[in-house]
Amino acid sequence: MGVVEEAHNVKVVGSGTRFIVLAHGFGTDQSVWKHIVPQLVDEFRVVLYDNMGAGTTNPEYFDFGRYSTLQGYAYDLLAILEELRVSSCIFVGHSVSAMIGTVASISRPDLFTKIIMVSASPRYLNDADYFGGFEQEDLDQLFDAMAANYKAWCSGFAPMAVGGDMESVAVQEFSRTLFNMRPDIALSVLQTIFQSDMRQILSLVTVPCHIIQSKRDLAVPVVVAEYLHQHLGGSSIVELLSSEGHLPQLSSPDTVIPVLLKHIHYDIAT
Amino acid sequence: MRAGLSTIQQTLTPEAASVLNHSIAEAGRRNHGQTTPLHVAATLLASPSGFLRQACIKSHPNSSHPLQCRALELCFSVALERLPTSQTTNPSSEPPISNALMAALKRAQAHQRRGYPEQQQQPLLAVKVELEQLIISILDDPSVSRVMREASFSSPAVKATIEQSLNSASPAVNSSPIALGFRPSPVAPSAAPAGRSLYLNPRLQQAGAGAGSGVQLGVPQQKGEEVKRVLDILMRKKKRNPILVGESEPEATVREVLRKIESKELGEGTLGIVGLNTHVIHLEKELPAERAQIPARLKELGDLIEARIGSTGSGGVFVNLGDLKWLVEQPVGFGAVGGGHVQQTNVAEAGRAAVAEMGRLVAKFGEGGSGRLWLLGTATCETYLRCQVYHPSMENDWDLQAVPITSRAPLPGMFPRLGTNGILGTSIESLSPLKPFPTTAIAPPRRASDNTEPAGISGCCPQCIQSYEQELADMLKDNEKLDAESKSEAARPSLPQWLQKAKTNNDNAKVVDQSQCNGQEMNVKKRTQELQKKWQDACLSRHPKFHQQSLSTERIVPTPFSMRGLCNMNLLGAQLQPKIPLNKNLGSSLQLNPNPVPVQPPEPAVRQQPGLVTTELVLGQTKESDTSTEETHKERINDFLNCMSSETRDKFDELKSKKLLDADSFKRILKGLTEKVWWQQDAASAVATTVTKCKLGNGKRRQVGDKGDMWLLFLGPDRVGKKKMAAALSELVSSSNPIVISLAQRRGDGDSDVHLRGKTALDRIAEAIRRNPQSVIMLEDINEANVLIRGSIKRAMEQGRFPDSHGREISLGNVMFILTANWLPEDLRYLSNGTPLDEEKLTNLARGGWQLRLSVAKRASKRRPSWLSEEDRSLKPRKETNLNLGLSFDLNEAADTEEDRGDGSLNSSDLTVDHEDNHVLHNVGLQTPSTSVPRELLDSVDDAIMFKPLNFDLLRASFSASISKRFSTIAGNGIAIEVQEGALEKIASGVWLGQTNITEWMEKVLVPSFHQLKKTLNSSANDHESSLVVRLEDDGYSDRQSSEEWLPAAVRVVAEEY
Repeated sequence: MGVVEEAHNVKVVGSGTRFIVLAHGFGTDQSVWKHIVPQLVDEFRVVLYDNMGAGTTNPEYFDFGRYSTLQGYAYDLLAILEELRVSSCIFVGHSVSAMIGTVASISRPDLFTKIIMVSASPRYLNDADYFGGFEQEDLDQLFDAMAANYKAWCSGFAPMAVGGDMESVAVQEFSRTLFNMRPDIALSVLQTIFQSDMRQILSLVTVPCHIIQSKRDLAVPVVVAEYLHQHLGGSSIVELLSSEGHLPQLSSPDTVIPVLLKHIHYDIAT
Repeated sequence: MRAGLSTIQQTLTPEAASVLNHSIAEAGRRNHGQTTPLHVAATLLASPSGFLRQACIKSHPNSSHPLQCRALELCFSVALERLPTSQTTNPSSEPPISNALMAALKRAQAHQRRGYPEQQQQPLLAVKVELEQLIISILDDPSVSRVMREASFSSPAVKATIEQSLNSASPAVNSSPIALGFRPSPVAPSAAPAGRSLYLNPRLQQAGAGAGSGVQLGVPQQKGEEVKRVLDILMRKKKRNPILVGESEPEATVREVLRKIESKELGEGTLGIVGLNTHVIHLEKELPAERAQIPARLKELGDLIEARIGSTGSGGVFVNLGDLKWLVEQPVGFGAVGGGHVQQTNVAEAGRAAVAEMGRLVAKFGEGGSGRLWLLGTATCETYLRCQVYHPSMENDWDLQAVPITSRAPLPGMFPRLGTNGILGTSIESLSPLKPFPTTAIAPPRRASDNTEPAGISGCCPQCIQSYEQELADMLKDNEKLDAESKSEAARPSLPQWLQKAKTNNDNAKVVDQSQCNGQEMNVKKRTQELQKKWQDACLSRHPKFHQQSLSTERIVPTPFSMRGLCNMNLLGAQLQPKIPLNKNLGSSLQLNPNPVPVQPPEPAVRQQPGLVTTELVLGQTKESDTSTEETHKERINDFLNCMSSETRDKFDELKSKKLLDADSFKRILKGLTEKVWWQQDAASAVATTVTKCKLGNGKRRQVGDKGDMWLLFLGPDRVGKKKMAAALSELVSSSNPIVISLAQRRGDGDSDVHLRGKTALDRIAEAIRRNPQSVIMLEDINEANVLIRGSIKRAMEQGRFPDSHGREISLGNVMFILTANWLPEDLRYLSNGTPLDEEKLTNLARGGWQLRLSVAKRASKRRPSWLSEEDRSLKPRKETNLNLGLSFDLNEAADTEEDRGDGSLNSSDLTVDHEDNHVLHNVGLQTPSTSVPRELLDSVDDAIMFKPLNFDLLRASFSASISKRFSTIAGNGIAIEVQEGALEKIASGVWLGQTNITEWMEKVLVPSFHQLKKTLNSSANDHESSLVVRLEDDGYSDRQSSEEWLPAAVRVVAEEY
């Protein structure tokens, strides 16, 4: 196993001919896709990996400089694809990984046939003519709280993000993966995510994008999906899910997985 | 591993095997513990006409500069130097093959095998790995590709070149005739595809290299040896000016050497002629800001050297060149964005001039001349290579000798790695596979901030630089104080930023000069770097505008933040944590409770009991006086109503006496509320109290009482009651209907049409507030609301502003919010246990145009038994329901309890139980919040008002009583009226659900029917009036349904012949 594969816990499962890459978002790891992987293995070779900084990766590898922008992650993704000799894939990115995928796709459009974005946002901060859902002061508070007591923050953030109560399985699951992250890394990653602004690069995206968004999502207002749709350079399509929360594939797999499969199987009609 | 060697040899073609053998021999010669891919790569490169060498030259983007391969060799030699030497002193033993090399060999084997057509695929061992495949897999090795990248070669590019040549020479694939030779196949110009090493996380490569060498790089420090080597070089006749090349602080070694020289630790013998009077010039600090002025400066330096040598006579002069990058790089901070190219050429020119000038000096005073001038310098591999490329003559003119320096055990995170540059800097510049990527603009600033050298805090805004300098000065001051060597330059105010580097180095050098131990000096350096990093981070996070050139260069600040309260999210989260300790708020409210909540002190409860007991007494008596049933009913109802009002009156008086209430408005509100929601007397009075209090600014909530908004929380199961209460309150307060917004996630009834698509509850609330800042807004089922809404509501309660889903905030104005929830405190739960007093069922019952009729029947001859039997009949089904309901109001039972009055009021009278509980729970319910009641809600609202579970039987009984009473006033005492159970239930639920109250309905509907009935009765044989009984009973359903009215608009009178 190559060094990249090993570092990112890359798993390739399934017997299909085409590659599909599932990339998890902040605070989770590849287990977030557990509900959908069984649906894909017959048809695809499913590539699962953990982003650097996830609880399952070696914190020694987390270079705070490299991962202070999304490009560091995008390079990782490309490195994985290179190492696996993937020449073309469908990319399913959740949350920040959707943006990582788009960044990578700008650099190497040949590698991506399409990108499926789940709960993606190019920018979380509000702006003069943009509504991202967060004010800087919100974020500062959030970061403060996170730095002050990570565990407490986790147990508060998890239900918020998932959109359920502490008892629900999805929240438990998310808290687990969230708390697995080393606190300083988690803080750094979250800061990178929240401070990132990918709006300028959206127009450079040429790969078709499928935007999938919960109708209620703490992190991503619905208008953001529309914004993505309008500003992406390539063709794109938006589907609003009836589910709630930032991790619909984890919290309401019954409604979300069919939608995802639909978008995986069908391309945007021209 | 060792055992496998012969097997491995067998899998290789002779050429490949010989390369491997050479590599093993080389590793043995160098006394290395293992044979790694680096050895193999070095061996492959060593052959001057080697295949790899050719491929490298071909692949290099800057076409083939003859020096490039030298650079590559140098890099490999450095890398090999770094490898740990084996502990065993037996040099003859062959070092085993490392895991990484083994992996490379296996890769090669796999690739070779793949090369064959499918049908003739051979068994694994039969496949011989050819040299090309070996090279390719060696190039794949992370440690090799890293070394190559240091020499600004891209291993994927080289690989591609080889593969291309392989393909084009495919006929010869199976028979490679030339060992280690140059394959004369046409090699296409390199396409330089973006290889993975470009994307690779440098830390992974390091890990890979570590794995490759089998041992982590934590090699024992060999600085002493390095120093010795440097000194050896210094004593040579030729190539005697050492440049220490390495990634991790070659400066330390230089400093050590200089220290030795200056402190004259070196014996006379070692440095021969130099011996006595040596002088060290630190060139780096002498360098001016503008690179263009460097040559002039060097001329001055020449004069200086001349003067020194002249004056000391027998001494020598060492010039510490510092990091050579000043020769090839623009100082960071200058070349930031614009005009980079122009400056670059300037640098090149200045550099050339500097090289020439220095060369002249060396020629004059160096070995060629008096032999008294030495140069010392450091460089990273990259810098040194650049020097060689830009100034090819430098190595000779300056009489330089490169000294590879072993890297220490890396201190993770302390010194930013060159590798970071590798991706964003070098590779982008030299190979530029990512050119279309717009973020290349990031490269310069990022590179600056990541620079390995202590290059000041370039790329920061002036503010931060100043702060940094301040802090640095302080730090240094402290340090020097510690050293008891308080030199004056500690507090140097604000220098131009380029001087930062010189300054820190200078300080460090000073420390060296003062012959201090290495550790301390390292400490200063480390702290300086930490400071720089800190301020860079701070600058990036504080002044993101300053760093706008890049899309998102914001760097992370890993330093912990100061604790500044909890954020909303945290609070929100906390509420969901079952273990959270009681809020401070709750605590204080508990303490305060006895004071401002005389609204519901236990006293009225006590007083109320006697009232009820009288009722019981009266009822008990009625059992004996059979004749006056109507009267008993009447009394009972009166008592019922009296006890209610008397109770509230008590409360009211009490409050008034305490001047807590505005009497008039309280009266008005209470009256209005009890009228509409007569079955929730206590709730009504609680609401009235709270509302009046809040209006007067005595709300429990609130720091400052000038907020106009008001928050009430209606708890309990009585959905209709809560709704009606809200409606009544709204009518009274704002003379309008309340705006009802259901927060429940899914509730089909009624409000579903409001659930507009794309409009969240938050937006609807916000809109409602905006439309009428005086209104009453009822937020139903807060317990079912999602976290987001709860969070917003909580925030609104605290701040008086409501955030909508777009982040805009609306002032709450004078809006009165009524939150409803189904929570039931524990102590009331038993009442509703098993009493799913199914509100839905009732609704269904009353729905759908049911009809009533009045019929007259003859009473059985024996009046009393018949009456009793009648009761019995009606009792039976009720008994059954009683089992379910768990509470009921039964005339007979109530009468029975007359004897044991002591506990009777508790035992049988639900009325009493209810009231008692009601009082208790209003306080207790809050004090011992059940798990499901969100405490933060209880804390934040102005008041939480408990709605007791609807006692439907009580309702029925009271209706039955009032109907009888009304009937008797019309028809006289002779005729009894009997309200059929089913009909009564429907009436009760109709009244409960609908807008009409029972008296209105009776007057409007029932009374005319009574009159009609009376007429019929009068007209017919009037003989035995008292033997007749009138029944009010269910009359099936009619087709026409009026959705508005829950009660029938007319009652059919059926006067049967009897």
